[in-house]
Amino acid sequence: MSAHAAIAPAAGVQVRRPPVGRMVIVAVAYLAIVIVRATYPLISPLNGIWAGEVTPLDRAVDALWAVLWLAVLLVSMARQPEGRLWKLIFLMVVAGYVGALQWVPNSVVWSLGRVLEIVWVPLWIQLVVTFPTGYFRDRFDRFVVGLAYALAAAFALKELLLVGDWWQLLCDPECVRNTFVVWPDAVLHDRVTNVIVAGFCLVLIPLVIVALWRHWRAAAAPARRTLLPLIVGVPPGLIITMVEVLSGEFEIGPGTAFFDSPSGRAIGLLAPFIFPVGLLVALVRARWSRARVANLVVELGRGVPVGGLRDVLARTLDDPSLELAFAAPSGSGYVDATGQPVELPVRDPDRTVTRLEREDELLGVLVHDPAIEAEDPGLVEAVGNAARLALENERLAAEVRAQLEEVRASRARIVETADAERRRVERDLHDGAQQRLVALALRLQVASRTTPEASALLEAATGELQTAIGEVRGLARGVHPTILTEAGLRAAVDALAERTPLPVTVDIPEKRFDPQLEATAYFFVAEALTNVARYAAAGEARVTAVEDDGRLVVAVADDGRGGADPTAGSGLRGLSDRLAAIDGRLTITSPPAGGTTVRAELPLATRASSTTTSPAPAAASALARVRAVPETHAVPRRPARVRLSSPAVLLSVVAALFAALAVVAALPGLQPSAPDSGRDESFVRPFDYQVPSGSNIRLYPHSDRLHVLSAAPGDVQGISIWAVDDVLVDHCSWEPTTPLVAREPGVDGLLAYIRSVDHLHVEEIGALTIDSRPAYRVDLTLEGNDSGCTGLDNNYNGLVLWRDKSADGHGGLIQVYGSDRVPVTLLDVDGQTIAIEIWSGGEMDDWRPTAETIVDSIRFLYRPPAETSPASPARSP
Amino acid sequence: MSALDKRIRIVLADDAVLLREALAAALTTEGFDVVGQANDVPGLLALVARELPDVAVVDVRMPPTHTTEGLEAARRIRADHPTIAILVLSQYVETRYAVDLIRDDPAGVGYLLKERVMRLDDLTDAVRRVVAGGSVIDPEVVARLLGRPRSHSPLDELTSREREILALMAEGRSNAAIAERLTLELRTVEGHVRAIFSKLGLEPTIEDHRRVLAVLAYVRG
Repeated sequence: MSAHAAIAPAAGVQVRRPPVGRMVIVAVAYLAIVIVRATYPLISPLNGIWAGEVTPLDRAVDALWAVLWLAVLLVSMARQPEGRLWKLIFLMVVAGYVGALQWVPNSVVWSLGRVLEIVWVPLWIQLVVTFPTGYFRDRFDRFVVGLAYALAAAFALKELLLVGDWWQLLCDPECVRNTFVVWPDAVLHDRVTNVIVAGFCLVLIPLVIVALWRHWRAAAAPARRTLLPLIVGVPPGLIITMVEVLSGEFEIGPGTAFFDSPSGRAIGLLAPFIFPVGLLVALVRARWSRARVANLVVELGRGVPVGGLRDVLARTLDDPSLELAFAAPSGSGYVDATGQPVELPVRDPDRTVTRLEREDELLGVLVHDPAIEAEDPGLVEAVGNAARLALENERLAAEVRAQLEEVRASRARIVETADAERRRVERDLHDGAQQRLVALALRLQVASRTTPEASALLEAATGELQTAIGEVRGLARGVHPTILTEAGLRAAVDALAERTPLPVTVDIPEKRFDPQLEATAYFFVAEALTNVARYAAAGEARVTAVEDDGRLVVAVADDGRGGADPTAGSGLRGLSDRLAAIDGRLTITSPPAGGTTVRAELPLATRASSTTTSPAPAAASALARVRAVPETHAVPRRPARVRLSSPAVLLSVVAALFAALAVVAALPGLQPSAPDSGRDESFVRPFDYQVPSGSNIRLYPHSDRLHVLSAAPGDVQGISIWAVDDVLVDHCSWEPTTPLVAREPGVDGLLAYIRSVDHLHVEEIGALTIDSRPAYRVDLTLEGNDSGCTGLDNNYNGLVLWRDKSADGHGGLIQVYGSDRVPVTLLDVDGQTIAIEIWSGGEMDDWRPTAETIVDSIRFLYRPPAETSPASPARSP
Repeated sequence: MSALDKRIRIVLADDAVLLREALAAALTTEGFDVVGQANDVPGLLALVARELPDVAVVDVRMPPTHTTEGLEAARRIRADHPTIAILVLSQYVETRYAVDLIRDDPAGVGYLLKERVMRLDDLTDAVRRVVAGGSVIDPEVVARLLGRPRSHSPLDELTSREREILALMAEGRSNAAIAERLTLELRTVEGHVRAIFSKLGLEPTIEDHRRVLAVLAYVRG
């Protein structure tokens, strides 16, 4: 707290004291809840019934968790006693203990506990998404948190309405059960749970990660410093949670196995700590910035160069984007330290405007990242007070510079106006006087033709007129050369060179510049060439113009006698005002007998135009706005318009797809429809489908289907591979149970019925057609051909092609022997022709391949029932 | 050049009414047929399309910017009606405009300073020359080009007579016209022209209007 001591006397700042009294109350309340939560289950009649055994490790973890959150709570209270963050944290941790109501052996309380158990989850997500202020940044954040609450509400409703008496505890003297149930349905409950959990994991969690990522992307350096621990910690924690919950909910073997393993358990235990630890780190890191005020005082004591205060303050507040502005001396608007006008942001949620005032006098305005105030309220004020003297200096310097700038701008405006006036005069001379004179001369000519007696007189008058016209033309060109406006600097200087009575080489790029710059450069060259012709006694001259570092450097060099006195009165002195008006510079190099070089450096981007437009209206509104902003605390409360960048949209779309998939997977009635008509690419493109060998295949809880292939209707029709699992009760029978042989919609084809498959490969055989249709090769690696099933084992070695007969009454079983190599064979099956070629690549045991390895490849083609032939299976060799 | 056999039909374009009317009156007096007047580029183009005159006499400065609209109009007339001659009247001695105008096709194109039109003979001469397919460059423009100081140039090697003839060539005059102007024998002029071309290293056998270009290009260097 030495920093505070150093500032307080100088600044008279009221240093915010942590609300110790309130903190004690909150801490006591929190600890009371924790203790009740920890001890009540021990004395509850439901002890040992409601939940499993609580190990010492569990207790230690719980205790650590509680202490950690208490620390987070207290630190956030101390940081922002008036903020929303700590209240959110308090609500969240308390909600986390509400589930313990289920230890109370009373049906109503128990049911409430069940229902409210989920409440902490949306609060947790709100906390993550609104950190560090506790306020929403934009509509996207609101949407994410809203979705969290909606899912939580759905979850709670499901608990409330569907949980029936299968959750019935104690029953002494009365059962503890859900008293609110209206529609007890265990299956529906499970499915709804599946959907909600999938929504949480596959939609909400990715969205939370997207929200964090958006915050990070939008944040400036100080805000990022605060966000960093969250960015690092939260997404991995969320992903671990997601995988764990999904594995559990959908009984994904490897997943549950992992989280049952020691390392998985450890990860599961540690994951919940990531967030509070990150939060604590973020809050404590912010705390350190106070010490910087002390450094600032030391640094200011050493002296800051005029104009350097902004950098010092930016360093102290760790905000490279910091801007320091002062009230403009003209009374409206603001200027920076160099006197240039600046616009203050208006209603920008990413910028906060803080006015640094002393007794109603505005010392300066800081435009900074809102995170500075959010993470450390009062810091900006403290910094402003510590830097008060330096601010005063800087403000005065800025005022002087602004006045200078105004003078410069007004000079530029005068030159600009004068140029415009010259152009107008030139045009008037050309279009007015000269035209009239020429017309008059023409009339005189005509008159002299028609009245020969006066012709001598008229001829003389015409001569006079010609002279007058020549003079007018010269005058007009001197006022403003049209060729400059029309064709640019190069052409105008070329014309100048033609009129100069000595050889002039011109080397100027053929391009257009700012009109004012062109005019200045032109008059500079004209004046310089006049001087060369008059005084230099030069043999030749050279005019060059090159662009160099944002300036146009125009030089006029001669090989004359040199020794020109730059201070002596020459037309060039008059030009120096003109040059200065656009921030140009004039240099003369003229060694005796060494020629003279006159050089003008002209900035390519003139600032005159920007300063001529008065920022008054915008500045006035900015001023009004700034006053409306709380002096030192500007939390963006208004929802800003969400700018969804394309990656965010993409992620959302992916998340939505996941969600749709999850719903589909969760509801067995909604199988994905067969691929559309049209050739399915996967049918001709090789692909591998791997499943762990040996084990039952169970990807979806209500389906044992592995893959569906199909081609265009009327062409090769498809193959469905079914992995037989416990869903198939009688997998040994000739007639598989209904779900197994369900026909693929739109596919009147073959169904291969196998026990399990661990490799599948389909490709078109380009060279082979059967009945002018393409043939396909299907490779199957079969595993676990159970010899226990007599039907399969005895006769057909496990590979069976099955044709659905539920569709049209046709169909039946096509048996494929484990033969070594059978040529393409047309089979007539129930009136339909089927072509089959089979070979087995593995060791063959005559008709019986070994149970371990059967590698069969099938080429098959199936012709739809267009041509009906006798319904007896025939087999050609 | 009798005006009786076939009167030359002229279209005038100039937004300065006073001058335009004076020009029209003068040209009519001289036996030309002024078939139309326009005060801006669209009006001129419409008039030319309607009247299909022998020549358009166009002021270089016209609305809206009063800079070089006339040059643009001349280019468009050349593109649409290659047979119509163009005489551009200009306040500008700037050689660039003159060279730009005749660069593409010098036949039947002229660039005359406005003050030149006060000499009615010069004006009618120029009009007749462009109508006849020749080129006209104002003598002052040529003088500016030839008078341009330069360090080392083959122009220095020309005799004063040769320079005189070079200037007339640059104005677009034929050998016969030059001979008449300088009261020389045609053969003498041809000899000078050969000498000039050889000193400057130019192709000697160029037809009249092409030769203007070559000479202009050379002296502009």
